[in-house]
This record gives sequence, structure tokens and C-alpha cells, in this order.
Amino acid sequence: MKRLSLLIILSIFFIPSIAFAENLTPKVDETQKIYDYADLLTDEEEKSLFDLVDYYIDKYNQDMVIVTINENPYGVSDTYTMNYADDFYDYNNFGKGEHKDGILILIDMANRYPWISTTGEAILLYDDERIAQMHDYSFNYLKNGEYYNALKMYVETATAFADYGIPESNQNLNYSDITNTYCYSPSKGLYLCKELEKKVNWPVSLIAGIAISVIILLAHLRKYKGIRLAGNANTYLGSVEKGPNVDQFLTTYTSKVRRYHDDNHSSGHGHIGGSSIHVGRSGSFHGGGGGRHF
Amino acid sequence: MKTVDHKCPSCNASINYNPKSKNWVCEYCGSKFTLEQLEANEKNFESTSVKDSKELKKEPEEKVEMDEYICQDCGAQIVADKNTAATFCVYCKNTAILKSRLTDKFSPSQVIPFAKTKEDAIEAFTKVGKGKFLMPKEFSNPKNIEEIKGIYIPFWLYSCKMHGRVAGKGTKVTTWSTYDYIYTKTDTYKVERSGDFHFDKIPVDGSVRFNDAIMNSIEPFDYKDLTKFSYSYLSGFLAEKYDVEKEEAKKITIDRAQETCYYNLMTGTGYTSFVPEIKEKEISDEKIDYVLLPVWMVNIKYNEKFYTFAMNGQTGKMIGDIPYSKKKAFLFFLILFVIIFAIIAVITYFV
Repeated sequence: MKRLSLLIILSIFFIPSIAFAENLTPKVDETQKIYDYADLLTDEEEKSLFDLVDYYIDKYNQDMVIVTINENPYGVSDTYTMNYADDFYDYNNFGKGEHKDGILILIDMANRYPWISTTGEAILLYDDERIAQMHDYSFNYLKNGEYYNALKMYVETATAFADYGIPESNQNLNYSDITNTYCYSPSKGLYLCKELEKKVNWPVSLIAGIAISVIILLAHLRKYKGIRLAGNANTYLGSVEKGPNVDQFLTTYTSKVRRYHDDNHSSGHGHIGGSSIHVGRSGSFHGGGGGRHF
Repeated sequence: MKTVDHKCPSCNASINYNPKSKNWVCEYCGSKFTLEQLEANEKNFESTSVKDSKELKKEPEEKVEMDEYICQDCGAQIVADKNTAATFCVYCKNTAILKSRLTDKFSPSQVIPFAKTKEDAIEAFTKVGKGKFLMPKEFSNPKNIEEIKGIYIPFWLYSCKMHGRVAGKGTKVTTWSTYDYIYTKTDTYKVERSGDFHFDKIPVDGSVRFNDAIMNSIEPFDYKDLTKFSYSYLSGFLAEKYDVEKEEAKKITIDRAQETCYYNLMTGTGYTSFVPEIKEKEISDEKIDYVLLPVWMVNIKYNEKFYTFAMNGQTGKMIGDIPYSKKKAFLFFLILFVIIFAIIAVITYFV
């Protein structure tokens, strides 16, 4: 009964949003491939990009779509950028073959955020590592406002990776591995291999419940201790004359950590091999990911 | 040795300082006097009656350095230890000011007179439970007050200019994330900060008998009320002379000032973290004053346990360690736990 009422509540929220998503996605001519709504490219640049895209589609039998937008009808956030990219691909019938293989590159100027959405075989071809690299290569161009160069770089790196073939992380996938939410087989493509079970995490609730309660209690009890030695003399500090500052650069170091996306009702997230996967609002699977805000 | 208390120039009864009206009021005839009027009368009084008072010899074998004095009002003997400067006669309850205790190097330069009365202190004590619902309800009942005393406590006020310098390594950490990765960039810098800090009148209590933490907790005093010291202010209150030497007081205060100095240099540097390897200070323009500051000491006995409360006699700030009921605390914890547990359980179900 509880499950049923939950389902009803969720439907009220999500069914309109799915219908809404289809309406908000512009219907386009699928052969055009370059959709420069944000007007970042000149006609010549569009033409030159189209040639590169056309070459890619012919050679690798994968679709490629480039979209730029000034306004995202869903709103401004990284998730909305992702939603726009997925919906644009799904509701416009892009993709090659049964599993709609292909890649879409979106520049969302409202969020100043680039997104790559992959579908079908392209999910395996562009694993997270490659997606991150593609964004890295184009980041400086985006930041400097060189949008043609940025998009050209995206297409070129996508082409180069397609040349290398499927990366090691996505080879020899263990199809029966039930720890993966999503499975892949050449005939079925991607499919949900295990429905995630929703349940309360009792140990986490218990430990966090105790810890937070203790912290609140101790913070409150601090108020009862009125007698304390003074640690500073801020009250008696009059004028301060600061001397010259020394700030001398020594070294720099950058590290990266993979983000794990939680599974969730409306658009499930998971991964297979080296690729992160989520379910678009149309119900189809997508890979890919976002870059850095520029 | 002589004791001094103040006589009403009109009726010769004992007269006390009144913090509310900021003058001296005779409880018997209702006359009011200003400091000037009282001091004019005082001169007259000393030239006549003091001559009559007998001085008792100190007991030769005294070990705890107790002195005996003769009460001006009833002739009873008053015993006071070596640091007491003003006390009460146990028989007639009149103030006895031991002037000799506050002369020469023990003579305070200034005093902040009491602005809060005993009644203010009692009222402040009844309100200590505000916002502290774990306190046993009965604790703040005035019937738990065992003793309440208005005391002029000796304080050293230390002023100086402190030049501080800190140097070490600072890091600037920036993070950004893509959909799949979180990047962290750490830049390391050699950092140095310095500055001149002017400290004005940091108080440190000059009496060993009073707990330093209590005296710190009733701070701050508003120094605009500091006035030239006069014995007349002591009437109606107790007073002490210092037994913490100037140099010792200075040491305590410098520790306190340098914490502020280093803290100020190390914050707001614009770095994510800054760990100084060198911390230096240089002190100049030192000045130290000896003053008497007003404090109400309130001793509480509750459930066979003693608690010390103190109120700033000028600002009315009341402090003390308040007991809490273990039963109430446990109940509070349980309620918190049930609510937080339920919220987290729901969150973990949906996420």
C-alpha cells in the first residue's frame, strides 16, 4: 500500500515533466547535424564543421550532432544541461542502427557548461576517461570564447578516439556481473540488469542519528559553562598597522577523483565498464558527461 | 592600626556608596552627599576622631598574617588577612576601610565605582536559566544564595604596542568538477605577514584569591567610568589589595595579547591553509596601571554542592557554571535522536 501511494505521488510529479520535455525540445531536420542556436559560429565555420562531422558519420557509422544554446527551457543547472542534450538526441530521432549509436556535443551558454551525450555503441566508445580528456582539450578555447576552435577540437578528439576503437575499460565486459546496474550485449545493447531495491539504510540512520544528536547536545551544554579563561584580547585591540605582505609562489599540484553518481528514481545512474550511464527522460540510455564551467 | 568608615556629616551614622544614585546616602537621616562634600567632611573627621582610636599591637606569633583592627562604630575587634583593604565589622555590619592597606605602591590610581546593586545581582542570578532548559528549575531560586558580596577587586590594566611577524607556507586550494571527476588544484606559496598592534588596558586580576577564569568571564569593563580613586567609594563594599606582582601580571597579559596578534596576522590571508613556521613579537610603549574594579561575588549552594557566580558590578554581566539535570539531558538526547533518526531513515530510503 505504501509502495502504491508512493508510486502515485511520483507519477504526479514525473509524468507531466516527461510530456513537457518532449514539447520543449525543438523539432529539427536530422540531416543538418549543426544546430547553432546561440549563434556562436559563422556560416563558413558551420560549413567547415559540418564537413568534419559528415566525415566522422560516414567513417565510423556513428551519428554526430552539435548544438549550441543561449537559453535552456528547463532552467540553468548541470542536470538541465544534461537533460537538454539527451532529449534533443532522443526526441529528434538521431542515431545509427538499432541502438541509435551516436554522440551529441552541447554548449549551454546559459550555464556556460559543455556536455557530451553518447548513445548506443558510443557509450562504450567514449568512456569517462575519454570524455574528460575531450572536455580538457576544448576548455581553454571555450574560456577564451573561441567556440569554433572548441567545437572543432571536440570533433577531432572524438574522431581520434573512434579511430583507437573501444577503450580497454569497456572491453571484455562481464555481462553477468550483477553488481552493475546496467548490462551490455551486442544484440540487446544496454539494458537494466537489476532493478535497484529501495530500502532504508538502518546502520547509517542509526550512527548518523546518534552522532548528530550528541553534537547538538554537546553544543547546547556548552552554554552552561559560563566560566572560561580568555584566550585572546580582541576587545582591547585598538589600531592595527599591517606591514607589507610576502606572497611568493612555490609549487602547484592537481589531483582528480572520480565522482560516483547515486542511483535515483527519475533518471537512474550507474556505470558499465569505464562509462557512466544514466537514463534519459525518454527512457533511453545515455553515456557521456560534462566538462568544466567556462 | 586604624580603620576608617564614613560618617554622615549630618547625623554621624555610617554612610555607604549608592551605585544607583552614584552618591552617598545616609540610611538614617536620608541626607545625600557628593564625593567632594564627603571628602571635605572626612578631613575634619580625621583630625578629630581618629586621634581617639586605639591601635592594637599585632599579635607577635601570627602565622597567617592576620591583623586586628578596632571598629570605629562599636569598638569591636575586626580581624582581616593581609590582602583585605575593606571589610565589615561582624558585630555592627559597618564598613571598615583599612586605609594603610591601600597606600604607597598599593594605592590604586583609579576605580570604577559599583553601578549595580545587590538586588540587581540577585535578579540577574534568577535569570541565569534563560534558554537553558536542562537546568534544574529550582537552581536559580534566590534562596540558594549562600552569600553575596560586592568586592572591589585589584586589577592590573596593561597597555602596549606589539609588533608581530608570522612566516610560513600557505596553500590555495581550488576545486572544480565535471560530471564524472572532481579536480583539486593546490598551489603552495611562501607567506609572511606582519603588523603593529596597539592594545589598550587589557585587565588581569591582581588577586590570587580570585579565580582568573571567573575574572576573565565577566569582562569587559567600560573604562569610560574609570575615575580617580577615593576611599569613599569603598564604603558599603569589600576591597582587596593586589598580591599578584606587576611582572607576573604582565606575563599573563602578554600571552593573551600575542594570541590575538598572531591570530589576526594568520586570518584573512586569502589562503586555504597557512601554517606558520616562524612566530615573532616585539613589545614597546608598555604601560601598566593598578585599579580597583567592582565585582559581585555570589556563592550558591544547591543540592549540597557549591557554585561560584560573579557579576560585573558595572555592566551587570552575570556568569557562572550552571548545572544541568542528567535526566533532562538524556530525555533531550532521546527526542533529538528519534527525530534525526527518522529524517535520515526517510532520506536513505529515497536516495
